[in-house]
Amino acid sequence: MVRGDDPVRMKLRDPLVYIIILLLISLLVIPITRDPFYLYLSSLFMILSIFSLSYNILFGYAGLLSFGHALFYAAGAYSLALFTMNVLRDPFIGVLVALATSTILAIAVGALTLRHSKIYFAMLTLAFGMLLYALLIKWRSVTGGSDGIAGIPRSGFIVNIMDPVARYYFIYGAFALILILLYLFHRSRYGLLIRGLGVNEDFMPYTGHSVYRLRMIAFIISGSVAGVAGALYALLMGVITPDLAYWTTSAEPLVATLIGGSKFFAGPILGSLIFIVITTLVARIADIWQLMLGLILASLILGSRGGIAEVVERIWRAGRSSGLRV
Amino acid sequence: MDLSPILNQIITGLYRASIYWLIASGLTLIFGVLRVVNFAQATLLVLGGYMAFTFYAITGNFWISIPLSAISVGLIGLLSERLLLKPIYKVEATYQLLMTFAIALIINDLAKLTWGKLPVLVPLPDILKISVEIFGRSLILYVILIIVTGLAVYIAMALLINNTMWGLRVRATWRRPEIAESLRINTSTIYSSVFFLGCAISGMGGALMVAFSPVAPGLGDFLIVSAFIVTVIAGMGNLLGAYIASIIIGVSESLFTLYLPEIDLLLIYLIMAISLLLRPQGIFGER
Amino acid sequence: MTNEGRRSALKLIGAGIVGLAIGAAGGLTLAPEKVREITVTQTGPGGATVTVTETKTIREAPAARLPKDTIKIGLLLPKTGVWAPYAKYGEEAAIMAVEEINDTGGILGAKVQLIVRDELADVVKQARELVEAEKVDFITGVISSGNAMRLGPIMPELNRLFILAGAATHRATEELVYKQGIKHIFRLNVPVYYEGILTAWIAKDLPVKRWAGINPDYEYGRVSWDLFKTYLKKLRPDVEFVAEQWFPSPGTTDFSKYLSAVDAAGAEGLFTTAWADEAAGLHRQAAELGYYKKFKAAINPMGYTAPVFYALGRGYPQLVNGMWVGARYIWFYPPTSINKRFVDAYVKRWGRVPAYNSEYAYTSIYVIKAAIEKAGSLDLDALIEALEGMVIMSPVGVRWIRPEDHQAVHESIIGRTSDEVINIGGEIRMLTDIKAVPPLFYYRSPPDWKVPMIDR
Repeated sequence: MVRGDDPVRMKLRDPLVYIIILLLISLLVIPITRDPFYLYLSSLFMILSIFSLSYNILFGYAGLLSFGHALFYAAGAYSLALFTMNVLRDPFIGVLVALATSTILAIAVGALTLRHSKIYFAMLTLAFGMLLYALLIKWRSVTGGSDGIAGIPRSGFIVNIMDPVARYYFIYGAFALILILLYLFHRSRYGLLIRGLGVNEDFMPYTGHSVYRLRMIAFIISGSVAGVAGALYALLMGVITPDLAYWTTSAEPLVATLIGGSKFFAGPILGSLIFIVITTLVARIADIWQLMLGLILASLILGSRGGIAEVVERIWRAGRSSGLRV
Repeated sequence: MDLSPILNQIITGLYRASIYWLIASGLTLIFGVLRVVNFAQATLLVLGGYMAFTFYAITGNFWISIPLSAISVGLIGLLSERLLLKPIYKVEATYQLLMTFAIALIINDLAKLTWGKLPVLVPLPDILKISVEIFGRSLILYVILIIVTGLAVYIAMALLINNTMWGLRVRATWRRPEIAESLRINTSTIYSSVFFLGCAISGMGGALMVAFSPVAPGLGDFLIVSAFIVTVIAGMGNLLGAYIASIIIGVSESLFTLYLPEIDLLLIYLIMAISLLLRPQGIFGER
Repeated sequence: MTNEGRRSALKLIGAGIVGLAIGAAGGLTLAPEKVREITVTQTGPGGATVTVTETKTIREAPAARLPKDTIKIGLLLPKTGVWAPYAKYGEEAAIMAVEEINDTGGILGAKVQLIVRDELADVVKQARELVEAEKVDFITGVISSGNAMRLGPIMPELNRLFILAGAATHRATEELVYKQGIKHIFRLNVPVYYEGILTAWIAKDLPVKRWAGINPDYEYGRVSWDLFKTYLKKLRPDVEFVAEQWFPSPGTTDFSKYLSAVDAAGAEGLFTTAWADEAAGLHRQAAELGYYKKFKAAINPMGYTAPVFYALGRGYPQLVNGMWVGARYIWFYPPTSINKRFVDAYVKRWGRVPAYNSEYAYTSIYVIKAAIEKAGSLDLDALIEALEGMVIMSPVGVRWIRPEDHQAVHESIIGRTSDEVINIGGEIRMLTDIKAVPPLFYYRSPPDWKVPMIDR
């Protein structure tokens, strides 16, 4: 076996770059269809992709199972809504505020939770997510309680995204920027180190890096990006409710990541696409999307824990190696 | 000061505690022995309620519907363990948890397809509507039945584990599965029987619950969180701890509703977070 | 009922057709001049179904053709969980209306098609899909007030009319339509003025001073309880509100801890705006746990909708001073031929009596028909103009759509459970002491949102 899995050599021939470029180009031309429904679905897809990519930094890279990632998503959505409605009416600044809020929250929650591992980390993140959920429900005078906040402004003095196409490109811009930044992070030294955590964290101390510090970096990046995803969701829908912080929202990027493939950079994107197709398009025909997701999840866990990306890679490699032999 | 309203509130809390315990007991038993966090536990309780609805419709007898639902939910649990969990015992624990999550999704939708999306209920038998006087308050037999069942389940589980041959094997597997295997204990059978028992208890819980409060889609999503709160406060895998913790949570939830209704929900999750931060091994767990 | 009770102001309110007349006269102001010219009765199978008063100019316009063969109407109803029993009642009535219209030539030659979606599967997402993927021309239904407040603000973006039929928060019309000027929303049902203000008239005369609330923790429960407290205090300053409990909704199936908590606070009367299976569950559990032997009276404004009285059947509790229950429309009232025809057709077709939201779903389809016929097109502004100030005869009685806030004004009744149990497709415990209250007594009206008979 000479054709090795050396990560550095793999990267040089990384087909991923082409996949990302192709994805960005196809999303760029979607508005040509002029169909508001496709615009809306593609927007949902991009937002869930950002959310899942952020989730995978914890799950796939650092090997941390979180059941409370909705904490940052909801925090981003609510901070955008509260800021643009009460302080300064501008979607762009709102997104920056959401980014700041979720980053600060990630530092605080990370400091409290990251010393715990495995199931305790999962339970702690669940507790923090549900704590925000309870706060959003109970603090009615500020958050609107279970009714949430409606009428989130889409125009301001910097950007005006009242028009669906403008809104689409706004989300697209954020998506493209985050995708490129996360890819650069993926290939960076820290990206590699954090991916090492997921493989075997016991070896980490020998590299001279503290596990806690690496986890913290992963947690902050993950939380802040999830906050931006939440803010974009608030802008797309114009309405938010505390359900955004409920644990089932945390399960969405988890399911998308598992389906797509947690060990691949593009896995969460692929998973998000499948997730959106099943929950939106298939649900229109038959209301069995939970069953479908459950069955896909169960068969992937049994057959290919690397998700659909791994299945695709296996087929691709099999094809290529047989091709080389000929 | 008349204490009876507070006592009444505590009894209401004990009733809720029993329901939580009937989920948490299965969760604890399964986690203790198999090291699997069963996300589907509350879904199985809800399934028990649906089953009881069907068995009641067939037999017309509330009492018969309880063991029938317990056994069928136990069998469904056993089936999912054999088919879906057994093949992945050797891989990372995370995937076992995720598999139970997938099981919950599947059962949720299958229940929806079978029983529809409307809530279902079994009428409360007249004998359970009889009220008795306790502390100057009238209390119906149903509430007492649920509270007593909770206690009985704890005692039965403790006896089963501490005083039977099966219990000895379970305890051995609970501590050190490798050593248990070297002692020729068939751990695979132990795993399956524990899974069956854990699921059957929750199935019974659902059958009992559905005579008072209906079951509906999405109820499991809500109950599983309460059961998690109970188990993490107790320390994962501690039976006595889980029983006491369900009483603590059930009663404090009830008292918060009486005294602090505007923040009751918040306090429960705060207790969960603080307890995990300060004592991740649980109040009753050892490091 | 005590002598004192009978002497009450409720007696002054009177009952029956008198109320209809006040409602028809526009409740509070006169109908706009142009609306009074011609009355056209549109005929459904077997007789008159909807009467529309139109202006002359529209009548003289050449017969309009619509630019399409099919008018699609999206109906949003709760289809999952504890609120779901409402859905079939709305869906069934809407199907009836669509069939009647299609059998008699459609709307200006176009067929009507109904698409039903679950408003509990994210109402904004569902509405978006209805408009953008299914291309519906109108949205109707929506039972949850929370959902109405979520969907309302995005209607200009979706650019469709939203014929709200069910959700009751007064904020949908007072704030979204009147203050924010979202002209896309029209509401056919009486808002929480019924839940909060009409019930205050009932509570005022009961020998109960200590009230407690167990309400769903969302828009509807919150605003209803607020209005009830405010207006009961105005009508009877000596009452006390000893406890308020909020249960998560939809989704609550166990009410024991809320019941024991209001009991611990020493409540004599219970006010609850639980609805659908949550109402049935609350009453059943309160009776089983013995609380209805301790409370003297209970008020549940939406306690007498079909899904609730069928679920409870003979077991619908009776309290010493009355289990006061109602619905925005109750099948046996008013005793008009149009209502009789609607109820008979519904019972014949579906085997049960209609729920209040059946009437709303049914009428909403006819209101859409009337609006299109009057406007002669699907142009949004023309449709809005057609609907503003429209007067419609419907099963619930005369409806007048107030132009200022797009709120329909109609009469509703309330009563307390009686000893009589009848059977129409299931056991129904009947009502007694029925109060038919004219809108003047409980509708708030623009611009200052006062109730004429209270805030004088």
